[in-house]
Amino acid sequence: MTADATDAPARRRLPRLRVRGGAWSVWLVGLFLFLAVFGPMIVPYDPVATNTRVSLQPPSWAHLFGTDDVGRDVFSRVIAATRLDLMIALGAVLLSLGIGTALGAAAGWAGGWTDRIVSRTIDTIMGFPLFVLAVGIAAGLGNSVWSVVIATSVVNLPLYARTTRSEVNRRRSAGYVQAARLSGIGSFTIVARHILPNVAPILAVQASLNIGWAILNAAGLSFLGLGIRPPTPEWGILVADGADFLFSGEWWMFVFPGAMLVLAVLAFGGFGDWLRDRLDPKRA
Amino acid sequence: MNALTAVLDQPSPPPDTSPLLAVSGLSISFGGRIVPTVQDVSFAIARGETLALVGESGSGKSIIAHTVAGILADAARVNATSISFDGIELAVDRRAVEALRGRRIGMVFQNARAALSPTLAVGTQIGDVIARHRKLRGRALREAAVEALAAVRIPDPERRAKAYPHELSGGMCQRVMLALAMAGEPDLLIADEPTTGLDNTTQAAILDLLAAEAKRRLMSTLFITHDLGLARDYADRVAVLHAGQLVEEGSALTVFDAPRHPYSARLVRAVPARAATVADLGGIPGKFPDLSGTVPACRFADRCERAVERCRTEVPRLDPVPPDGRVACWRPLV
Amino acid sequence: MTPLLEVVGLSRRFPVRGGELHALDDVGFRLHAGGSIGIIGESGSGKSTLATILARLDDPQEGGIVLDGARDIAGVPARAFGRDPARRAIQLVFQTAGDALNPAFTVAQNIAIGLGLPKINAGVLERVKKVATEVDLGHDLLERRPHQLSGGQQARVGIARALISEPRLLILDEPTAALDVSVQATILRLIDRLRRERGLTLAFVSHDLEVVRLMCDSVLVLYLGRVVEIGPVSEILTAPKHPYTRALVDASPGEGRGSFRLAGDTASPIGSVRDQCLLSARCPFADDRCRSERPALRGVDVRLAACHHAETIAASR
Repeated sequence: MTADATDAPARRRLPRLRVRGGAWSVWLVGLFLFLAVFGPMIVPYDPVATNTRVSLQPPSWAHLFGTDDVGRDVFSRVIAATRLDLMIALGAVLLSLGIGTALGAAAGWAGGWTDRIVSRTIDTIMGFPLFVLAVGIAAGLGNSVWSVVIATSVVNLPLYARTTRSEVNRRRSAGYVQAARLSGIGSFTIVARHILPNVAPILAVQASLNIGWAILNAAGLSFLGLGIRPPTPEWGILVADGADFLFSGEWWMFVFPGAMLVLAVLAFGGFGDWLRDRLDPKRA
Repeated sequence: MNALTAVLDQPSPPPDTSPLLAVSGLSISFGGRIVPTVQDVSFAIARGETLALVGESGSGKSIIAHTVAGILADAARVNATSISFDGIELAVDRRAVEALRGRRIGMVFQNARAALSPTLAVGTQIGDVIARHRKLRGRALREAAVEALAAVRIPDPERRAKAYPHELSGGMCQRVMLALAMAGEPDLLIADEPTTGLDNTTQAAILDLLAAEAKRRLMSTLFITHDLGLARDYADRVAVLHAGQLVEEGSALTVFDAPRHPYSARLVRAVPARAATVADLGGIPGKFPDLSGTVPACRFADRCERAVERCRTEVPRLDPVPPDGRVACWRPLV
Repeated sequence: MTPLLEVVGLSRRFPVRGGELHALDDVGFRLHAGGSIGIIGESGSGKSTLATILARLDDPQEGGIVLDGARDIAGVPARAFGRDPARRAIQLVFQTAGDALNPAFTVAQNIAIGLGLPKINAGVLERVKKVATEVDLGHDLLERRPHQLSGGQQARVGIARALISEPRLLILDEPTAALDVSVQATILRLIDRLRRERGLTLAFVSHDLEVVRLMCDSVLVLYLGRVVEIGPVSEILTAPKHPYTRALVDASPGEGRGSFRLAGDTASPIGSVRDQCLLSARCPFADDRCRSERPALRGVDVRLAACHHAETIAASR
């Protein structure tokens, strides 16, 4: 027998090389959500109040993450920034999830011209290097939170539109969809009530994996000076500010917000992974 | 040629009556399960004989076939008194079968297209296998591959040798897989539901071909199927499995026409070809036993209208049935 | 007597690379109320296309489907048929495999889809329970998800979903093809019982002659989209007059299994081979006439057969 034939039934599971999403990520995401809601209330200092007498102090019990060049408490600023960063990321993901799912569902269900128009639009977006596109959009829309949200959501749109398109298309001729048509159920209801609930777990996993990326994208835009303006505490801005002092030895201004950013990206990535295992309908 | 003539002129040796494959006391367990998935199964296949392993899904028929072929997943724990292939003991050293597989033991299974490499022309795939067994290269090898395709009655074999699996129909792919299995000139062919998913005319053509090849080469066949009707048509003997237990064994016609085990009788009643009207059809009552829990000694007891207390506490003995069958039942049909 | 269903000259073509694929080519038959017709064919025969068109999920390019001798429902586009009063009269049972049931819904919701409402209120639940009882589906299973059911139970759910809207015509598209023989037996008995209890008319699509012999009183044999033979089951399956039917009969496992086989595999012709018998390349009886003239469906004793040599073939058996 050929190698193909004999290997087929004995195919073994390969060891997974990625970090397993586990309960740790759920706790971390919970912590981030807690900080987003209550952070500004529990921080020891006003995150925007300057105090030049204590500028550029290294971490100490009074200032856990040290202070910046104008004497603001880095710990308070890092914690206070959580709300804005998560809001931008969640807002952008929800926006692209909503629009992307609608577009993808229309394209996947209707096919024909609808599909062609949607697919070409998506391909056009995909044609750009994504971060460069985000920079262009954010620059065009001016300095506001919304411009970051919109720029991030536009570059994320293809992810949701493509997934939804192929998942809806795959189920279009499924027996249960035909059965719904036989009962005189309209197209919109079939897609919304009969097909999308089956696609939802896949999208939910993508969305949670995508939040980490969106946080990074938003921070990247502010790092470049687009979108949100100082002195608003935001991780990207904090990292950008800190970068100026990295080589003069005041590492804490750069390292702590940077670490927070990495932690957030990892937490949501792990959470998405955990969700994937949970939402598999065959496990219920 | 003289040597060959000399061989042919010699008086033929007495026919070898020892079975080609003899399995005895085979049990297979999977982790986390209290009861073994396959329990104490024994059967033998004579040279040139076709034995059908028949049962519903979950009966363990494919697991047994995979064990014989030595391609069972590592997670399974195999216990056997003996698995003897032409005198070679496979139960002790599981690697012994590696040397046999592809040469003396060939295998075909369902969904042949998935078993063929999608990126190689089928002629090349067959050529690769032939090259392992015969010292052929280049043009001679290509010709041998075309011959192998012609042998499994693929029309226009020269052109088809250049085709990729996706360009061939399901029936053609199954023929290619058969040609691959035959290239090693096996003594035993394991055919695991080889025609599931194929049309009836294609099924008949493939099984006819299998039978003809087996007869021509005096090859033994282990034929796995859930359809006792097919087993009756194409096998010499059948072994009926229920939930991992061998319940009956005998010549195909005897088991089909006069089943002794209530389960075999139920399987016979489910064959549409045998029923005059739909009222003659019978399914199998009750639920398939859940092997992740505890089960009665005779695993069919809970589905059997003839069951008595003894069936639940004592595993039925395999008793001989004249002329050459065996049945494992405390209250067999007469 | 007016037939419940009269199908005339149905054609469905699909555009493919290099031309058009004739999935259905001038297909017609009659089905009286309470009768059952088997639609037999192998892969590529167009039998599933016929089932979807009869269920009005797809539109034919030509032909009529007359219900109760009154209305041609082939003219109503499939898109609009959902709102048609005739909709409830026809239901389809899908092959039990993979995606026949919605994995996101419970069994009860899946059955309720047959009424057009996946929402379950007390009234709907009553009807779901009633039809579940009718198909021998335990009420304890109603809150489960489809993947927690055995193949036989899934088949029952599919039948219950089709029956809950009280159709008169039930189209079954290979309802047991994915099931073990032993499970198939119970499902066939169930379908037969429901047919008698409800007075259903059946169109039973299958590749298995023996199943059709048990379930139907007439049979239509399709080959590459064309009807090759049609008539009473007892006649056609015991004494086929078309070589294709004969090959099917001989290939069917069982005691009387014959040895007549066709050469090669079914290959869909695209484009310019319309003026010939589509079986001519595989048929041992084929002559020049078969390769140049399409055989018409004509009366041969009590059946219709589309073969120039029907009489010779009958005699050769």
